[in-house]
Amino acid sequence: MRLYERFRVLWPLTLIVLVAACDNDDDAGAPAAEVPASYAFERNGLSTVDFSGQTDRLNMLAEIKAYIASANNGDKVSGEHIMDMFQNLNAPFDDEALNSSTRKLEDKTLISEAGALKDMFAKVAEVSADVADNGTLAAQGIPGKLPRGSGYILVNEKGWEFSQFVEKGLMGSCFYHQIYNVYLTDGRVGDGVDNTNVVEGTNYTAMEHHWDEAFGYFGVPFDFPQGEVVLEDDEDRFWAEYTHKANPFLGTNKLLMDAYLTGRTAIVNKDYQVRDAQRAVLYAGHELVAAASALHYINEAISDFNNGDTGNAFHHLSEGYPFVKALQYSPYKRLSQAQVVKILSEDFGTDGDFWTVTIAGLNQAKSTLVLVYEELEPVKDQL
Amino acid sequence: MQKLVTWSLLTALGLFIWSCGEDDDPRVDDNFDQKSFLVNIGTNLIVPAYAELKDRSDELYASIQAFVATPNPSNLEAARDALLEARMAFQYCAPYQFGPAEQLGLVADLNIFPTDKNRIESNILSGSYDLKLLSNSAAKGFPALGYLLYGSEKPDEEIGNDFLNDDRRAAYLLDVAETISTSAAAVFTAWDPSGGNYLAEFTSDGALGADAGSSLGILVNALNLSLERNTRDAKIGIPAGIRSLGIIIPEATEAYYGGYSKQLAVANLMTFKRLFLGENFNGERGTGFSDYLQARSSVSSNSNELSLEAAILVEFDAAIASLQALEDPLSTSISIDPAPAQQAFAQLQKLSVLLKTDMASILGVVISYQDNDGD
Repeated sequence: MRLYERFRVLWPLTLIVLVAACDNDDDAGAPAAEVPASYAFERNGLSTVDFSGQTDRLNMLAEIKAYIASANNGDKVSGEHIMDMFQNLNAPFDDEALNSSTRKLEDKTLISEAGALKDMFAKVAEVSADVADNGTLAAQGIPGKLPRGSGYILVNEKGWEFSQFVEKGLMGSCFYHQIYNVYLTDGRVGDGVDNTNVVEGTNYTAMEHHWDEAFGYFGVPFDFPQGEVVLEDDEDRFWAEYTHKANPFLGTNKLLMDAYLTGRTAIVNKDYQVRDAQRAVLYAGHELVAAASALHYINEAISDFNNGDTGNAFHHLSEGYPFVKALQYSPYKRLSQAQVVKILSEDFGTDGDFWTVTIAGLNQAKSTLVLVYEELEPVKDQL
Repeated sequence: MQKLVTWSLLTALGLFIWSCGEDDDPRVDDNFDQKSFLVNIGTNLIVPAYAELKDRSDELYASIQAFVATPNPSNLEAARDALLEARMAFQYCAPYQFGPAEQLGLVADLNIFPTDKNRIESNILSGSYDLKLLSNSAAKGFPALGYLLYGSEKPDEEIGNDFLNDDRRAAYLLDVAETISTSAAAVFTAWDPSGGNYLAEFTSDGALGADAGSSLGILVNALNLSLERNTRDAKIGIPAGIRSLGIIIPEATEAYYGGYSKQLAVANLMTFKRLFLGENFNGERGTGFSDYLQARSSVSSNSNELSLEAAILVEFDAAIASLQALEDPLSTSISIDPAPAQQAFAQLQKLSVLLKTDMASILGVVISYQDNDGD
């Protein structure tokens, strides 16, 4: 948008060029495209939609999560192997298509978080070996296994469950980060981005493609949220899963899907006001899903607390913590950075040490979220 | 995966209820006055139960103070009696762990068991602890008092001396008792019409209906959760080895040190039955779930002859009888023969199915709490 301001003097000229371009265009006089019911867009009869890179990364995270979670069953996991998966080195995946993919998670993850994650990969390997060899039980300040239900979870010295922190952590620091700070920005879908010429060797413009890449990180099927089964088993994961979970309370499925569809159509129509309005809806909607998910797990943890169920409490806190953290990645976030820090380093225990969590602290986090995201107020106890 | 099923079920059920339209809205059908049902439950059952818990907890704290001041066998006996009274009073509140009780963490403060005697001893030894921490859940509440007042093999005179000679031990006993008293009082005050008056919210017009946020929805979810996880699993199933491949865990009984776990379990389940009938402490009937089901003239899924309310009462009586057939101290009797406890578990399971599946669906309530397993 700043770009637009800068070239304001050229605006009349642009118009002339546009009009001229239209004159030569085969589509001249064609009515504006209408918003389709599902995410299908075409040019000359061929699809213009491609986000295979995003799908690859979603699949990579699914394998990483499953591998780390195998440590909950008492298996030793290898830190090098997790690193290989993160960097897509040495054919680390079960899915051969991922091994031959040029994509990896590492270079799309917020740099400040990637380092902490790598430390965690090393730690989970160390702890899984200790648990496999010595059966070490977790306690305050001591990483190990913690009974949960009929099995165990593997946690660090603060009670953080490794598999949850890695999975939910990357949902924020990679997927949301890419949507928020890369693909929905002016640099990728703003007015300065080419929306006239198709990218060589493809059937899409740069602007179209960038919008689709944001959609790819959302991870829902093309016809979301229609269909008898809204999300098939292999689609029911990451942000698609949590958007769908929040939906009965907040209508998040249609909110987000409509915004992606309408915005993408607006790009086809070169209607940039509508596109920008949808961008705003997406920033707010994705953030609301994270807030609702955080609140859901806070409620679960309070309930676990009342059941004296430490294993489930830590499991749910390990899901809630990264969801709170995910709130900080939006440049337009409604929760202030100070509020994020307070929830994570006080309300979720001193410096996030789950062994020091109190119900009062969790209620404090809950009221902060409800205060900031007032849409949550009517459903705060049901989420 | 189970979570997925729960969520999709929830959505599906939600859609189903929605699609049934006005006719199934409990506010308008059946000539059933949901408001007077909630008023009866709230006013005549819940508030008196929390008042009782507050009073008994205050007395417990007072008797512990008296024991610490003069730790002789008769004061020890008085403290033990007061502990039993308070634990019985807590059973009367069991189905009502929602709203203030959940927010304030009543169960977490009062009744997490099995208690962690190592944590208790290390807290006493260090003299530095914060009883509000999650990590201290199993080092406080009634079960911790049970350990402190009964847990020693020594004769009663010497138990008193342990507190006389160790200020930190005495201080810990007082702290635990005070936490119980404070927490019970806070929940009562939150319900009390002259306090936080959650009763008004519970019985308000805005809380009618059967939606997730309605009082009926909250109550049905809470009573089922408590019956399943607390009564069926924690009190009976887990000690009887249901979760441990049949290996008995005597120390997981509720009153392992006091030796009256069965007595608590019976009182607990009788409370659920009174709630079902809408009956107060004095045995006076008001509008209860049984009336609600009758108004819906529903039939049980596992009996062609009985109405649902009659079938549930049959299961209540069978389950109560199966608990009464147990012997205290439960920790000893299940070690000798776990069969009666396993039988009681099966009865509680049958009852739970009728309340969670049949009753909830007839009332149009979606069970929204999740199973513990899954990822």
